[in-house]
Amino acid sequence: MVHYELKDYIKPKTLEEALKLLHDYKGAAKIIAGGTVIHELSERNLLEGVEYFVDIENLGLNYVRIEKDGLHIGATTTFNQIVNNSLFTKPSYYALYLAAKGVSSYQVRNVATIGGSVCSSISFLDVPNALVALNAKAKLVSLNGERIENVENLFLGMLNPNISEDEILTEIILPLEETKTASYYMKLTERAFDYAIVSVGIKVKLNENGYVENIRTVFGNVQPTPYIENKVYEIAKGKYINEDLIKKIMEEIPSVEPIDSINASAWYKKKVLKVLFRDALKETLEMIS
Amino acid sequence: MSKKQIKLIVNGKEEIIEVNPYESLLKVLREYLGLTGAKRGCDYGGCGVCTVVVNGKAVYSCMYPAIKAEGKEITTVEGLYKDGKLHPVQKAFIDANTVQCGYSIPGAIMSAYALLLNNPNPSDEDIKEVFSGNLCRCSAGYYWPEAIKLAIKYMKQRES
Repeated sequence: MVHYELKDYIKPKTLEEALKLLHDYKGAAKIIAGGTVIHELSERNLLEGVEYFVDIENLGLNYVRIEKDGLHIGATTTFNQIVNNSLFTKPSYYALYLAAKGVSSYQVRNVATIGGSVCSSISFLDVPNALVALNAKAKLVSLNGERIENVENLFLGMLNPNISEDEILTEIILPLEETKTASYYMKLTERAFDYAIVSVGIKVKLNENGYVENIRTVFGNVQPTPYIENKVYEIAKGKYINEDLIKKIMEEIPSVEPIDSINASAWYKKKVLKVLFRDALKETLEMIS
Repeated sequence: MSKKQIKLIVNGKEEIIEVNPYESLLKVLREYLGLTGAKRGCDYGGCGVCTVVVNGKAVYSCMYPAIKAEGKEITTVEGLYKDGKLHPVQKAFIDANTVQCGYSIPGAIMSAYALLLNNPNPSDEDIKEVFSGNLCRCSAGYYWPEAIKLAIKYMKQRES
Protein backbone atom coordinates (compact mmCIF):
# COMPACT_ATOMS: atom_id res chain seq x y z
CA MET A 1 0.00 0.00 0.00
CA VAL A 2 3.04 2.26 -0.08
CA HIS A 3 3.40 2.90 -3.79
CA TYR A 4 -0.02 4.17 -4.62
CA GLU A 5 -0.83 7.87 -4.38
CA LEU A 6 -4.32 9.24 -4.17
CA LYS A 7 -5.69 12.77 -4.11
CA ASP A 8 -8.33 11.92 -1.57
CA TYR A 9 -10.04 9.10 0.28
CA ILE A 10 -13.66 10.05 0.85
CA LYS A 11 -16.15 8.42 3.19
CA PRO A 12 -19.63 9.66 2.19
CA LYS A 13 -22.48 9.19 4.65
CA THR A 14 -25.35 8.73 2.21
CA LEU A 15 -25.88 6.87 -1.04
CA GLU A 16 -26.82 10.12 -2.80
CA GLU A 17 -23.58 11.74 -1.71
CA ALA A 18 -21.59 8.75 -2.96
CA LEU A 19 -23.38 8.68 -6.31
CA LYS A 20 -22.74 12.39 -6.76
CA LEU A 21 -19.02 11.92 -6.09
CA LEU A 22 -18.84 9.12 -8.67
CA HIS A 23 -20.71 11.28 -11.14
CA ASP A 24 -18.56 14.36 -10.56
CA TYR A 25 -15.21 12.56 -10.65
CA LYS A 26 -16.26 10.22 -13.47
CA GLY A 27 -13.45 7.74 -14.15
CA ALA A 28 -11.09 9.23 -11.59
CA ALA A 29 -13.02 7.79 -8.65
CA LYS A 30 -13.11 4.16 -7.60
CA ILE A 31 -15.38 2.55 -5.04
CA ILE A 32 -13.69 0.85 -2.11
CA ALA A 33 -15.56 -1.47 0.26
CA GLY A 34 -13.45 -4.04 2.14
CA GLY A 35 -10.35 -2.91 0.29
CA THR A 36 -8.85 -6.37 -0.27
CA VAL A 37 -9.07 -6.45 -4.07
CA ILE A 38 -8.14 -2.76 -4.25
CA HIS A 39 -4.97 -3.60 -2.33
CA GLU A 40 -4.03 -6.27 -4.87
CA LEU A 41 -4.77 -3.91 -7.75
CA SER A 42 -2.63 -1.15 -6.27
CA GLU A 43 0.26 -3.56 -5.67
CA ARG A 44 0.09 -4.58 -9.30
CA ASN A 45 -0.12 -0.98 -10.57
CA LEU A 46 -3.58 -1.55 -12.01
CA LEU A 47 -5.16 1.61 -10.67
CA GLU A 48 -3.85 4.01 -13.26
CA GLY A 49 -5.96 7.15 -13.55
CA VAL A 50 -7.71 6.61 -10.23
CA GLU A 51 -7.37 9.70 -8.03
CA TYR A 52 -10.12 9.25 -5.47
CA PHE A 53 -11.44 6.38 -3.44
CA VAL A 54 -15.07 6.51 -2.39
CA ASP A 55 -15.52 4.29 0.66
CA ILE A 56 -19.08 2.93 0.78
CA GLU A 57 -18.82 1.45 4.27
CA ASN A 58 -21.11 4.03 5.89
CA LEU A 59 -24.00 3.92 3.41
CA GLY A 60 -26.08 1.46 5.44
CA LEU A 61 -25.59 -1.34 2.94
CA ASN A 62 -24.76 -3.92 5.57
CA TYR A 63 -27.85 -6.12 6.02
CA VAL A 64 -29.48 -9.45 5.28
CA ARG A 65 -33.27 -9.48 5.14
CA ILE A 66 -36.04 -11.59 3.71
CA GLU A 67 -38.54 -9.67 1.62
CA LYS A 68 -41.45 -10.74 -0.57
CA ASP A 69 -39.35 -10.99 -3.70
CA GLY A 70 -36.30 -12.67 -2.23
CA LEU A 71 -33.43 -12.62 0.21
CA HIS A 72 -31.71 -9.23 0.08
CA ILE A 73 -28.04 -8.98 1.01
CA GLY A 74 -26.54 -5.51 1.30
CA ALA A 75 -23.42 -4.93 -0.81
CA THR A 76 -21.06 -4.31 2.12
CA THR A 77 -22.09 -7.44 4.01
CA THR A 78 -18.85 -9.27 4.78
CA PHE A 79 -18.11 -12.93 4.08
CA ASN A 80 -17.93 -13.71 7.79
CA GLN A 81 -21.33 -12.12 8.33
CA ILE A 82 -22.66 -14.55 5.73
CA VAL A 83 -20.86 -17.50 7.30
CA ASN A 84 -22.20 -16.61 10.76
CA ASN A 85 -25.80 -16.15 9.60
CA SER A 86 -27.74 -19.42 9.96
CA LEU A 87 -29.95 -18.47 6.99
CA PHE A 88 -27.14 -19.41 4.64
CA THR A 89 -26.74 -22.93 5.98
CA LYS A 90 -30.17 -23.74 4.54
CA PRO A 91 -29.91 -26.05 1.49
CA SER A 92 -31.18 -23.38 -0.94
CA TYR A 93 -28.33 -21.04 -0.03
CA TYR A 94 -25.65 -23.48 1.08
CA ALA A 95 -23.49 -22.86 -2.00
CA LEU A 96 -23.03 -19.24 -0.93
CA TYR A 97 -22.19 -20.30 2.63
CA LEU A 98 -19.49 -22.69 1.37
CA ALA A 99 -18.10 -20.17 -1.10
CA ALA A 100 -17.84 -17.44 1.56
CA LYS A 101 -16.36 -19.82 4.15
CA GLY A 102 -13.80 -21.10 1.68
CA VAL A 103 -12.34 -17.68 0.98
CA SER A 104 -8.70 -17.20 1.87
CA SER A 105 -8.34 -16.47 5.56
CA TYR A 106 -10.38 -15.39 8.54
CA GLN A 107 -8.99 -11.85 8.48
CA VAL A 108 -9.92 -11.36 4.83
CA ARG A 109 -13.43 -12.68 5.47
CA ASN A 110 -13.84 -10.08 8.21
CA VAL A 111 -13.52 -7.24 5.69
CA ALA A 112 -14.15 -8.59 2.15
CA THR A 113 -17.69 -7.89 0.95
CA ILE A 114 -20.20 -9.66 -1.24
CA GLY A 115 -20.63 -6.59 -3.46
CA GLY A 116 -16.90 -6.11 -3.84
CA SER A 117 -16.35 -9.67 -4.98
CA VAL A 118 -18.93 -9.27 -7.74
CA CYS A 119 -17.71 -5.85 -8.87
CA SER A 120 -14.11 -7.08 -9.16
CA SER A 121 -15.05 -9.43 -12.00
CA ILE A 122 -12.29 -11.93 -11.27
CA SER A 123 -12.90 -15.44 -12.61
CA PHE A 124 -11.39 -17.37 -9.71
CA LEU A 125 -13.22 -15.63 -6.86
CA ASP A 126 -15.65 -18.01 -5.17
CA VAL A 127 -18.58 -15.88 -4.11
CA PRO A 128 -19.51 -14.55 -7.60
CA ASN A 129 -19.54 -18.08 -9.04
CA ALA A 130 -21.76 -19.31 -6.21
CA LEU A 131 -24.12 -16.37 -6.71
CA VAL A 132 -24.50 -17.17 -10.40
CA ALA A 133 -25.29 -20.80 -9.49
CA LEU A 134 -27.98 -19.53 -7.11
CA ASN A 135 -29.60 -17.37 -9.79
CA ALA A 136 -28.79 -14.19 -7.92
CA LYS A 137 -29.68 -10.73 -9.13
CA ALA A 138 -27.95 -7.47 -8.33
CA LYS A 139 -29.34 -3.98 -7.86
CA LEU A 140 -27.26 -1.18 -9.36
CA VAL A 141 -27.98 2.44 -8.66
CA SER A 142 -26.79 5.65 -10.30
CA LEU A 143 -28.01 9.24 -10.38
CA ASN A 144 -30.00 8.28 -13.48
CA GLY A 145 -31.97 5.56 -11.72
CA GLU A 146 -31.57 1.90 -10.94
CA ARG A 147 -31.45 -1.42 -12.72
CA ILE A 148 -31.74 -5.02 -11.63
CA GLU A 149 -29.47 -7.45 -13.46
CA ASN A 150 -28.81 -11.15 -13.27
CA VAL A 151 -25.40 -11.45 -11.67
CA GLU A 152 -24.03 -13.47 -14.63
CA ASN A 153 -24.59 -10.42 -16.86
CA LEU A 154 -22.26 -8.28 -14.77
CA PHE A 155 -19.04 -9.81 -16.06
CA LEU A 156 -17.49 -8.88 -19.40
CA GLY A 157 -14.05 -10.30 -18.72
CA MET A 158 -11.23 -10.39 -16.23
CA LEU A 159 -11.29 -7.18 -14.12
CA ASN A 160 -13.89 -5.84 -16.50
CA PRO A 161 -17.33 -5.66 -14.87
CA ASN A 162 -20.41 -4.62 -16.79
CA ILE A 163 -20.92 -1.78 -14.34
CA SER A 164 -20.50 1.83 -15.34
CA GLU A 165 -18.23 4.24 -13.50
CA ASP A 166 -21.10 6.15 -11.90
CA GLU A 167 -23.00 3.09 -10.65
CA ILE A 168 -22.98 1.48 -7.22
CA LEU A 169 -24.01 -2.12 -6.66
CA THR A 170 -26.21 -1.75 -3.60
CA GLU A 171 -27.52 -5.24 -3.01
CA ILE A 172 -27.66 -8.85 -4.10
CA ILE A 173 -31.05 -10.53 -4.28
CA LEU A 174 -31.37 -14.29 -4.00
CA PRO A 175 -34.56 -16.19 -4.84
CA LEU A 176 -36.72 -17.17 -1.85
CA GLU A 177 -36.07 -20.54 -0.28
CA GLU A 178 -37.49 -23.40 -2.34
CA THR A 179 -38.64 -26.89 -1.36
CA LYS A 180 -36.83 -30.00 -2.62
CA THR A 181 -33.90 -27.75 -3.46
CA ALA A 182 -30.27 -27.75 -2.44
CA SER A 183 -27.06 -26.10 -3.55
CA TYR A 184 -23.38 -26.77 -3.15
CA TYR A 185 -20.03 -25.18 -3.97
CA MET A 186 -16.77 -27.02 -4.33
CA LYS A 187 -13.37 -25.80 -5.38
CA LEU A 188 -10.00 -27.28 -6.05
CA THR A 189 -7.01 -25.44 -4.64
CA GLU A 190 -3.34 -26.17 -4.16
CA ARG A 191 -3.42 -25.16 -0.49
CA ALA A 192 -6.47 -24.37 1.62
CA PHE A 193 -6.04 -20.58 1.42
CA ASP A 194 -5.30 -20.40 -2.31
CA TYR A 195 -7.60 -19.14 -5.03
CA ALA A 196 -9.58 -21.77 -6.91
CA ILE A 197 -7.90 -23.64 -9.77
CA VAL A 198 -11.42 -24.54 -10.84
CA SER A 199 -14.70 -24.54 -8.96
CA VAL A 200 -18.23 -25.87 -9.35
CA GLY A 201 -21.43 -24.29 -8.06
CA ILE A 202 -24.64 -26.30 -8.30
CA LYS A 203 -28.28 -25.74 -7.46
CA VAL A 204 -30.69 -28.63 -7.92
CA LYS A 205 -34.48 -28.65 -7.65
CA LEU A 206 -36.31 -31.97 -7.77
CA ASN A 207 -40.04 -32.45 -8.27
CA GLU A 208 -42.31 -34.31 -5.86
CA ASN A 209 -41.35 -37.65 -7.39
CA GLY A 210 -37.63 -37.02 -7.14
CA TYR A 211 -37.05 -36.24 -10.81
CA VAL A 212 -35.00 -33.26 -11.91
CA GLU A 213 -37.03 -30.10 -12.26
CA ASN A 214 -34.04 -27.82 -12.59
CA ILE A 215 -30.27 -27.94 -12.34
CA ARG A 216 -28.04 -24.92 -12.62
CA THR A 217 -24.33 -25.58 -12.85
CA VAL A 218 -21.59 -22.97 -12.90
CA PHE A 219 -17.90 -23.54 -13.50
CA GLY A 220 -15.46 -21.03 -12.03
CA ASN A 221 -12.10 -20.12 -13.60
CA VAL A 222 -12.90 -22.18 -16.70
CA GLN A 223 -13.63 -19.06 -18.71
CA PRO A 224 -12.69 -15.45 -17.87
CA THR A 225 -16.26 -15.09 -16.54
CA PRO A 226 -18.49 -17.60 -14.66
CA TYR A 227 -19.43 -20.33 -17.13
CA ILE A 228 -23.00 -21.65 -16.95
CA GLU A 229 -22.89 -25.29 -18.06
CA ASN A 230 -26.28 -25.81 -19.71
CA LYS A 231 -25.33 -29.32 -20.82
CA VAL A 232 -26.08 -30.67 -17.36
CA TYR A 233 -29.68 -29.50 -17.42
CA GLU A 234 -30.15 -30.67 -21.01
CA ILE A 235 -29.13 -34.20 -20.09
CA ALA A 236 -30.72 -34.46 -16.65
CA LYS A 237 -33.99 -32.62 -17.24
CA GLY A 238 -36.99 -34.71 -16.09
CA LYS A 239 -34.76 -37.65 -15.21
CA TYR A 240 -33.87 -39.44 -12.03
CA ILE A 241 -30.21 -38.94 -11.15
CA ASN A 242 -28.35 -42.23 -10.76
CA GLU A 243 -24.77 -43.34 -11.32
CA ASP A 244 -25.36 -43.97 -15.03
CA LEU A 245 -26.74 -40.52 -15.60
CA ILE A 246 -23.87 -38.91 -13.69
CA LYS A 247 -21.39 -40.86 -15.85
CA LYS A 248 -23.17 -39.70 -18.98
CA ILE A 249 -23.00 -36.07 -17.85
CA MET A 250 -19.32 -36.45 -16.96
CA GLU A 251 -18.58 -37.56 -20.50
CA GLU A 252 -20.24 -34.47 -21.94
CA ILE A 253 -18.77 -31.75 -19.70
CA PRO A 254 -17.25 -29.25 -19.89
CA SER A 255 -18.87 -28.11 -23.10
CA VAL A 256 -16.22 -25.43 -23.48
CA GLU A 257 -12.44 -25.53 -23.71
CA PRO A 258 -11.10 -24.22 -20.37
CA ILE A 259 -8.57 -21.42 -20.23
CA ASP A 260 -5.04 -22.22 -19.09
CA SER A 261 -4.01 -20.71 -15.76
CA ILE A 262 -0.66 -20.40 -14.02
CA ASN A 263 -1.61 -23.20 -11.65
CA ALA A 264 -3.24 -25.64 -14.10
CA SER A 265 -3.43 -26.39 -17.81
CA ALA A 266 -6.67 -26.53 -19.75
CA TRP A 267 -6.13 -30.28 -20.15
CA TYR A 268 -5.93 -30.80 -16.40
CA LYS A 269 -8.88 -28.53 -15.68
CA LYS A 270 -11.03 -30.48 -18.12
CA LYS A 271 -10.31 -33.78 -16.36
CA VAL A 272 -10.64 -32.50 -12.83
CA LEU A 273 -13.88 -30.59 -13.49
CA LYS A 274 -15.71 -33.83 -14.22
CA VAL A 275 -14.75 -35.27 -10.86
CA LEU A 276 -15.42 -32.04 -9.01
CA PHE A 277 -18.85 -31.86 -10.63
CA ARG A 278 -19.66 -35.46 -9.67
CA ASP A 279 -18.70 -34.90 -6.04
CA ALA A 280 -20.54 -31.60 -5.78
CA LEU A 281 -23.67 -33.08 -7.34
CA LYS A 282 -23.66 -36.00 -4.92
CA GLU A 283 -23.31 -33.64 -1.95
CA THR A 284 -26.20 -31.56 -3.29
CA LEU A 285 -28.50 -34.56 -3.72
CA GLU A 286 -27.68 -35.81 -0.27
CA MET A 287 -28.99 -32.56 1.18
CA ILE A 288 -32.34 -32.93 -0.58
CA SER A 289 -33.10 -36.50 0.49
CA MET B 1 -1.48 14.65 -2.71
CA SER B 2 -2.77 16.21 0.43
CA LYS B 3 -2.47 14.71 3.85
CA LYS B 4 -5.57 14.15 5.91
CA GLN B 5 -5.91 14.56 9.62
CA ILE B 6 -7.63 11.63 11.27
CA LYS B 7 -8.44 10.50 14.78
CA LEU B 8 -7.70 6.92 15.73
CA ILE B 9 -8.41 5.20 19.02
CA VAL B 10 -5.45 2.91 19.54
CA ASN B 11 -5.36 0.71 22.63
CA GLY B 12 -7.89 3.02 24.30
CA LYS B 13 -5.88 6.16 23.61
CA GLU B 14 -6.93 8.88 21.18
CA GLU B 15 -4.32 9.68 18.55
CA ILE B 16 -4.58 12.51 16.06
CA ILE B 17 -2.30 12.04 13.05
CA GLU B 18 -1.84 13.16 9.48
CA VAL B 19 -1.88 10.40 6.90
CA ASN B 20 -1.73 10.10 3.15
CA PRO B 21 -5.09 9.13 1.61
CA TYR B 22 -4.06 5.54 0.88
CA GLU B 23 -1.76 4.60 3.69
CA SER B 24 -2.10 1.32 5.51
CA LEU B 25 -3.05 1.07 9.14
CA LEU B 26 0.10 -1.02 9.59
CA LYS B 27 2.34 1.79 8.40
CA VAL B 28 0.59 4.29 10.63
CA LEU B 29 0.86 2.04 13.68
CA ARG B 30 4.51 1.19 13.13
CA GLU B 31 5.99 4.36 11.69
CA TYR B 32 3.83 7.17 13.07
CA LEU B 33 2.84 5.74 16.43
CA GLY B 34 5.88 3.57 17.13
CA LEU B 35 3.79 0.48 17.82
CA THR B 36 5.98 -2.17 16.24
CA GLY B 37 4.18 -5.19 17.68
CA ALA B 38 2.30 -5.73 14.43
CA LYS B 39 4.90 -6.86 11.91
CA ARG B 40 5.31 -6.27 8.23
CA GLY B 41 5.54 -9.63 6.48
CA CYS B 42 4.16 -10.26 3.01
CA ASP B 43 2.35 -6.87 2.94
CA TYR B 44 -0.15 -8.67 0.79
CA GLY B 45 -2.84 -10.04 3.08
CA GLY B 46 -1.53 -13.56 3.30
CA CYS B 47 0.80 -14.20 6.23
CA GLY B 48 -1.05 -12.67 9.19
CA VAL B 49 1.88 -11.13 11.07
CA CYS B 50 0.25 -7.70 10.75
CA THR B 51 -3.04 -8.82 12.37
CA VAL B 52 -4.64 -6.26 14.67
CA VAL B 53 -8.16 -6.02 16.06
CA VAL B 54 -10.48 -3.31 14.72
CA ASN B 55 -13.86 -2.98 16.44
CA GLY B 56 -13.52 -6.49 17.82
CA LYS B 57 -12.59 -8.14 14.54
CA ALA B 58 -9.18 -9.44 13.46
CA VAL B 59 -8.00 -7.75 10.26
CA TYR B 60 -4.82 -7.56 8.23
CA SER B 61 -3.53 -4.06 8.96
CA CYS B 62 -1.28 -4.16 5.86
CA MET B 63 -4.32 -3.96 3.60
CA TYR B 64 -6.58 -1.91 5.84
CA PRO B 65 -6.54 1.78 4.88
CA ALA B 66 -5.80 3.95 7.91
CA ILE B 67 -8.61 6.32 6.98
CA LYS B 68 -11.04 3.41 7.08
CA ALA B 69 -10.07 2.89 10.71
CA GLU B 70 -10.99 6.46 11.67
CA GLY B 71 -13.12 6.55 14.80
CA LYS B 72 -12.86 2.80 15.29
CA GLU B 73 -11.29 1.03 18.26
CA ILE B 74 -7.96 -0.50 17.35
CA THR B 75 -6.19 -2.97 19.57
CA THR B 76 -2.61 -4.06 18.95
CA VAL B 77 -0.59 -6.57 20.91
CA GLU B 78 0.82 -3.69 22.97
CA GLY B 79 -2.70 -2.96 24.21
CA LEU B 80 -3.10 -6.37 25.82
CA TYR B 81 -0.40 -5.78 28.45
CA LYS B 82 -2.03 -3.79 31.21
CA ASP B 83 -0.96 -2.65 34.70
CA GLY B 84 2.25 -4.62 34.49
CA LYS B 85 0.37 -7.82 33.74
CA LEU B 86 0.24 -9.99 30.66
CA HIS B 87 -3.14 -10.72 29.15
CA PRO B 88 -4.24 -14.37 29.70
CA VAL B 89 -3.85 -14.98 25.96
CA GLN B 90 -0.25 -13.70 26.05
CA LYS B 91 0.55 -15.81 29.11
CA ALA B 92 -1.01 -18.86 27.49
CA PHE B 93 1.09 -18.41 24.34
CA ILE B 94 4.23 -18.33 26.47
CA ASP B 95 3.24 -21.29 28.64
CA ALA B 96 2.23 -23.42 25.65
CA ASN B 97 5.72 -23.02 24.14
CA THR B 98 4.42 -21.37 21.00
CA VAL B 99 7.41 -19.12 20.54
CA GLN B 100 10.46 -20.03 18.51
CA CYS B 101 11.50 -17.14 16.26
CA GLY B 102 8.54 -15.12 17.50
CA TYR B 103 7.83 -13.16 14.34
CA SER B 104 4.33 -14.51 13.80
CA ILE B 105 3.36 -14.42 17.45
CA PRO B 106 1.88 -10.89 17.77
CA GLY B 107 -0.44 -11.62 14.85
CA ALA B 108 -1.40 -15.04 16.17
CA ILE B 109 -2.08 -13.61 19.62
CA MET B 110 -4.35 -10.95 18.14
CA SER B 111 -6.27 -13.58 16.16
CA ALA B 112 -6.68 -15.65 19.32
CA TYR B 113 -7.69 -12.57 21.31
CA ALA B 114 -10.36 -11.63 18.73
CA LEU B 115 -11.72 -15.17 18.71
CA LEU B 116 -12.16 -15.27 22.49
CA LEU B 117 -13.63 -11.77 22.48
CA ASN B 118 -16.44 -12.91 20.19
CA ASN B 119 -16.71 -16.53 21.28
CA PRO B 120 -15.47 -17.40 24.80
CA ASN B 121 -16.10 -21.13 24.26
CA PRO B 122 -14.86 -21.95 20.76
CA SER B 123 -15.06 -25.47 19.33
CA ASP B 124 -11.94 -27.23 18.01
CA GLU B 125 -13.12 -26.40 14.51
CA ASP B 126 -13.46 -22.67 15.41
CA ILE B 127 -9.94 -22.68 16.82
CA LYS B 128 -8.46 -24.26 13.70
CA GLU B 129 -10.45 -21.90 11.53
CA VAL B 130 -9.31 -18.72 13.24
CA PHE B 131 -5.66 -19.42 12.48
CA SER B 132 -6.40 -19.95 8.78
CA GLY B 133 -4.92 -16.52 8.19
CA ASN B 134 -1.76 -16.78 10.31
CA LEU B 135 1.29 -18.56 8.99
CA CYS B 136 4.15 -19.89 11.07
CA ARG B 137 7.22 -21.25 9.37
CA CYS B 138 9.12 -22.55 12.37
CA SER B 139 6.78 -25.26 13.68
CA ALA B 140 5.81 -23.54 16.92
CA GLY B 141 2.48 -22.69 15.31
CA TYR B 142 1.53 -26.28 15.95
CA TYR B 143 0.89 -25.32 19.57
CA TRP B 144 -1.34 -22.31 18.94
CA PRO B 145 -4.62 -24.25 19.35
CA GLU B 146 -3.31 -25.58 22.64
CA ALA B 147 -2.49 -22.01 23.70
CA ILE B 148 -6.09 -20.98 23.08
CA LYS B 149 -7.36 -23.77 25.31
CA LEU B 150 -4.92 -22.69 27.99
CA ALA B 151 -6.02 -19.07 27.59
CA ILE B 152 -9.64 -20.08 28.15
CA LYS B 153 -8.56 -21.78 31.37
CA TYR B 154 -6.62 -18.70 32.51
CA MET B 155 -9.53 -16.41 31.73
CA LYS B 156 -11.92 -18.56 33.77
CA GLN B 157 -9.44 -18.56 36.66
CA ARG B 158 -9.23 -14.79 36.46
CA GLU B 159 -13.01 -14.45 36.64
CA SER B 160 -13.43 -16.76 39.62
